[in-house]
Amino acid sequence: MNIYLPIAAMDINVLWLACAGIAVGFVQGLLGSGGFLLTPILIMMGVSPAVAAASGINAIAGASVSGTFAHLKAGSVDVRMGLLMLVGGISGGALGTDIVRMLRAVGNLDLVILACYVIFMGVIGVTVFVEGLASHVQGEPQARVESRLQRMLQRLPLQMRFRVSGVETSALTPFLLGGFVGILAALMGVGGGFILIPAMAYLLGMPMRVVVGTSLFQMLFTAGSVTLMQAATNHTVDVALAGILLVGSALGAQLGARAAQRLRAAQLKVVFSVLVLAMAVKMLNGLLTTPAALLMELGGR
Amino acid sequence: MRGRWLAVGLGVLVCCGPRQAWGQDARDDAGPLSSLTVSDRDIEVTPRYSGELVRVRGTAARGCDVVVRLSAPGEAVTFSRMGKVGPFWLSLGRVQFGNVPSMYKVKSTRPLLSILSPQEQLRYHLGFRGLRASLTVQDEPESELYLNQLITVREAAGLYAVDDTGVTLDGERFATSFFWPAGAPPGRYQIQAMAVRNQRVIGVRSVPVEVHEVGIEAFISALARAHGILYGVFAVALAGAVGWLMNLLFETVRRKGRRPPPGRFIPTKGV
Repeated sequence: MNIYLPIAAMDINVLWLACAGIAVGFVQGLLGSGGFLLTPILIMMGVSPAVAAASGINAIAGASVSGTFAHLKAGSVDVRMGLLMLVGGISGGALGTDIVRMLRAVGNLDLVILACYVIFMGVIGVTVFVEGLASHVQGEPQARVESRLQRMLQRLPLQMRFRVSGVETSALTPFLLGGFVGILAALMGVGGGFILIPAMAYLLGMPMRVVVGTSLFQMLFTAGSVTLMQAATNHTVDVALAGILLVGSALGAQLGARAAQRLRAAQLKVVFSVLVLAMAVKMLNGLLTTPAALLMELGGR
Repeated sequence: MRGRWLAVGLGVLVCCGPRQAWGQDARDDAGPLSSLTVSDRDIEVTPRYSGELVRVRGTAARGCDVVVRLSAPGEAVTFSRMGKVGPFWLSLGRVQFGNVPSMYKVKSTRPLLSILSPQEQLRYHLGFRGLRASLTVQDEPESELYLNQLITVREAAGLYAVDDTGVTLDGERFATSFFWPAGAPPGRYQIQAMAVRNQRVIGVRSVPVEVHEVGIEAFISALARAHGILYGVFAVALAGAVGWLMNLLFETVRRKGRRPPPGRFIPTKGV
């Protein structure tokens, strides 16, 4: 059962697309992170990397709505921190969207997106693999790096107090974090929870409840504004693609959350990391093999 | 803003409205070709569109060979030139082509080389050699190489093809078919039948075929192209609504399935 995607200008099998959404949602529900798989799966289904990244971030915006409001109602969002991150996120997103436009004009956007994913999924795959194998061993060197970073953050100007989180840090910290995530959102179509959550929890020492709420809050608004900017600048957002993925991933997340209660996390992490590494290798292979033709069509139409 | 919406609405109406029927091209001299019909002159891109096969039928005087060409108006296109830097393949510059049709397919009763003189092939832009002669490349020393590459790329996308035996001939009647892949852009195309005898084209007849988006497809692509920001708002709102509804659905299922859990349900993360 195929449908025609007006922006991607191709037809795609709806069932396969929904299955891809379910798979991503399942990983999400099972392990707590997996949204970064959306874009690479779309690329592997034949969607161009530019459209995949922009539609992926659109789906992420949609998926964060209800969670964000639930956390806002429960008071577990540090709005002050979130807004500062958002300012950074929108600036980073604008910069990222512009980078996308320039790379696209030169013809190297696909390469950059794929290369980012190879590095990114390689790092995640190895980290999760090691974690899964030795989940009880605490990383000493990591703690040392963290405390050095913490000292650096304390020296930044504009120190201020974040009441909801109960921490004190420079206003630049959330701004820079948000900015980095915003660039990645535009370039790769990822929400950035995998960076923000550890940064807020370990680097800033915020309580986990507030970490999750604030991360979702910034994700919703950064992803939303990056979607707007991509639609305005690059015309790469395919709303049909995003919608179908969302339905699938919502379903998958429920299944994943249920499965998580029955399965052993450590083993799952190993399986998951091997999968991610396999995807990274496949993408790397695509970058290294001789293309079928020495010409590549520039941009969309 | 209201004016814009109105304009979009009108655009959709115009796109959905009845299409005028395209007639026989007045310049053509039909000669021995007494008829040419296609199964669909008006290919509609709906949400279920996945390309379309258009059947072509016609009649030509006995003893003629028939060549049928599908093509589109030529346009300027820019490609990036791939080259190897270290182990990676990346874009090293641009190549600009002129007069490139978005689709080009030729089918004939017998191989073109055996039924048409090279001059006639060039004159009517038949076969890849004829096509190559009509294309232009902007200041590029290796133009031959890149013209071949352009044809390879478009062939792989199912947009270009030459089929020496694609037309069947049964007495006076000939028949063939052309497939429009889903990736063929909306626009005007032309199917042209040529009667061939003694190495020369002795009659031409053509029928236009138009591909256009209708309904929701037309609305979305018009909105996305003309009002990017508005389309972005629409995309975010729609995705948000879908996400919200799915959450509502699963919360209802959960509530019905079990007793209400203590405390409020807080989803821990979005995707």
